[in-house]
Amino acid sequence: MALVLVIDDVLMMRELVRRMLDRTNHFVIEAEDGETGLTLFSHHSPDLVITDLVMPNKEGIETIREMRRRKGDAKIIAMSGTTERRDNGYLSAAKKLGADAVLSKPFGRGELLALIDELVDRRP
Amino acid sequence: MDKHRQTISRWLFNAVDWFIPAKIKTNTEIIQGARMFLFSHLFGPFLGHTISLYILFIHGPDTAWWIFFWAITAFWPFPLVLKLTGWYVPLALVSIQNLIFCILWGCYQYGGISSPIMPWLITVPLLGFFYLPTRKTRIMVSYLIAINIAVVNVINVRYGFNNGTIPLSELSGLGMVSTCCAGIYVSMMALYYANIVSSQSELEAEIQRHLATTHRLRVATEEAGRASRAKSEFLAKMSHELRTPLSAILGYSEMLMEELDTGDSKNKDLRRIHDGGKTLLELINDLLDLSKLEAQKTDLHVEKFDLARLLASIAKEWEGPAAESNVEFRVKHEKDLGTVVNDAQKLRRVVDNLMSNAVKFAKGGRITLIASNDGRQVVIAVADTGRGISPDRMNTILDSFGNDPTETSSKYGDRPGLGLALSHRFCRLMGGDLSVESEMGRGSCFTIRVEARLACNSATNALQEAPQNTARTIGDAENTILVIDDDASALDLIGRILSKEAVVPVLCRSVAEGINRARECLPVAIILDIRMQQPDGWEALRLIREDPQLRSIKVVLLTVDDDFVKGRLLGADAHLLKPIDREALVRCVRAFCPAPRTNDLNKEKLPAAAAV
Repeated sequence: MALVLVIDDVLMMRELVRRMLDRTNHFVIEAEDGETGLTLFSHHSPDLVITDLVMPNKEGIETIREMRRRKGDAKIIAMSGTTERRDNGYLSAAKKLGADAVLSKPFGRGELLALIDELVDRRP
Repeated sequence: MDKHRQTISRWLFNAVDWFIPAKIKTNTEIIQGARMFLFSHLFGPFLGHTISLYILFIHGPDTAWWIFFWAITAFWPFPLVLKLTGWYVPLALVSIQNLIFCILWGCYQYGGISSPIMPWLITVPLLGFFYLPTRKTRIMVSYLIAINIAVVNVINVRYGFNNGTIPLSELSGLGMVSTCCAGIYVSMMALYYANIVSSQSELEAEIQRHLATTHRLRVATEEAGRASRAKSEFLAKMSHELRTPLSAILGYSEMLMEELDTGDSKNKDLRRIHDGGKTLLELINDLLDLSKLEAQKTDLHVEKFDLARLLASIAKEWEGPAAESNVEFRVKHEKDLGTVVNDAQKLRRVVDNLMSNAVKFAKGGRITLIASNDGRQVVIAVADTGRGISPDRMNTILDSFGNDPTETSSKYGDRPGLGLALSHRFCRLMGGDLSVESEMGRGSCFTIRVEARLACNSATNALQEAPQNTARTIGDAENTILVIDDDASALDLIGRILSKEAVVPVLCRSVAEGINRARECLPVAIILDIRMQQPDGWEALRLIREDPQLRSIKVVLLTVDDDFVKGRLLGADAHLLKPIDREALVRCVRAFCPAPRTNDLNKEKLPAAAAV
């Protein structure tokens, strides 16, 4: 039962992730940009953050960096749709910046759930 | 006629220029003056002698005349003396003094105060200022004239001006001759001056044109850079935009399939949606890859990898699909294929592409994957016993984009020939090629050849090359690395990492500071951040490459996005991604600063790059 914060400027993606987490007992809150995401992050201390990397207003990398700064042990998954998905460029940078894992779009539910389980301690 | 004139003037100018000594040739201040000086001394005495010979003609030689004659003749050696000694200013002053003497002597002897030679005095300040361009020297000339006039007045007061050796009445023609000669002389000088000044301004006009061209080139380059960046951003944006709806298609169809009962008929429909989505994804990936290749933005992510292990992984992946299509799949290679330095991921994609085609076309047949590595070249071949490729298609198959009607998607929904074109280009990028052999009805064999050790990443290889004579100047320069970054914390971090690597870091917050200190300490490498305020890293890179002192220093760029290709084209030697990865930085430093420090001034040629 984890509190998951999803940050993506595209509604479709936020809905998709929410739908993927439907049958689990995780609770999802959403933000549509980095700024809002950081506010929610500070207020609610989610167990996990899933954030897109390419967003207006506050780039995903910036957001990750800031979250890492505020809470050193935050769990962050970075998503992205760049072609670098296979070539390890942008996403590896995200990892170096403090994301704990990367999810390249498009990803399947199984992939997402496996990652969440890996990163978040199960709580009753 | 014009051509003759041009030849003569050219010859004239060259003759005059021959007398200019080397040290004056580069002195733009006095070179024009020197030309006037030489011209005057080479041709002026002819006019002077016209006068002396006229006097000789009407009067005959006497002591006074001989003095006059020799004083004029004395001008001729001046050019030679200048060429031999280069003492321009003293010679000019002596010459002017001699001229004043000639004129005053002539006046004194031939007519006194009313002498027709007196007007020649006008030429003295004229010549003085022609010869000598600077304020200081012109003041000297003025003093010279003043002193001479003073002396003459003193003599006049003391001894009085008589009418000279020849009475005025006999000098009737001299006025004409003297005036004519003076006129010719001054015109000559003026013409010459006009000519050299005009060629000077031509030169200056040309310089201006060059500067304008350089400026236009720079603007064009910046434009191109902007266009290129715009293209990059577009590609990245499109990639991102396209994947989002695809995520929805694939995501929802997958979830629905999972949640429905397995027997449910809707599963088949959902499966089709899902497969369609997957095909779309492959197509989009290939399309974007191709666009990147066309825009020359594809980067090689070179790494060291175990070839046998890569092939084993590929083989495992294709066992299933091969079995499903009822194809016998065999892999043939030596057990140990060694390590390869190249782009493993791209290689894998190419092999996957070939395998996918082979499985498609060899239904019920056999596919063999053969590999070898001779240390210089890696050869991987995928042979199938499919229906083969017709001869007329052989020429285009590797570069066609699926326009061929016979190469449309099969009933299994596989994509058309986009992959081969991509694979072909990838192989070329990896330093090799893709080729095909085929026989109708028997089968086909596609062969990948790529470099086993891709040149731009042979950091370790280069260190083992024979040492070349690139002498370094100061011992300590070997291990100095200059860092330019306007972010104080990044600078600090790099500094700390470098210090631990037995390297002397020189940290600079601005490009200006960096360039200056680089000139002072001549580091072995410069680490440059790209994202700085104007001037930014690209500007710094340009400055470094244009400076003859700094040109040969290795440059490492720190970037957030992968501007590898641009950096390489503009002369950078290596890249590091920000945020700084300690290991990558250390590896880079070690490549440029060989650890065992020798005091030998003949250093090895440093490695070309260590792409990270």
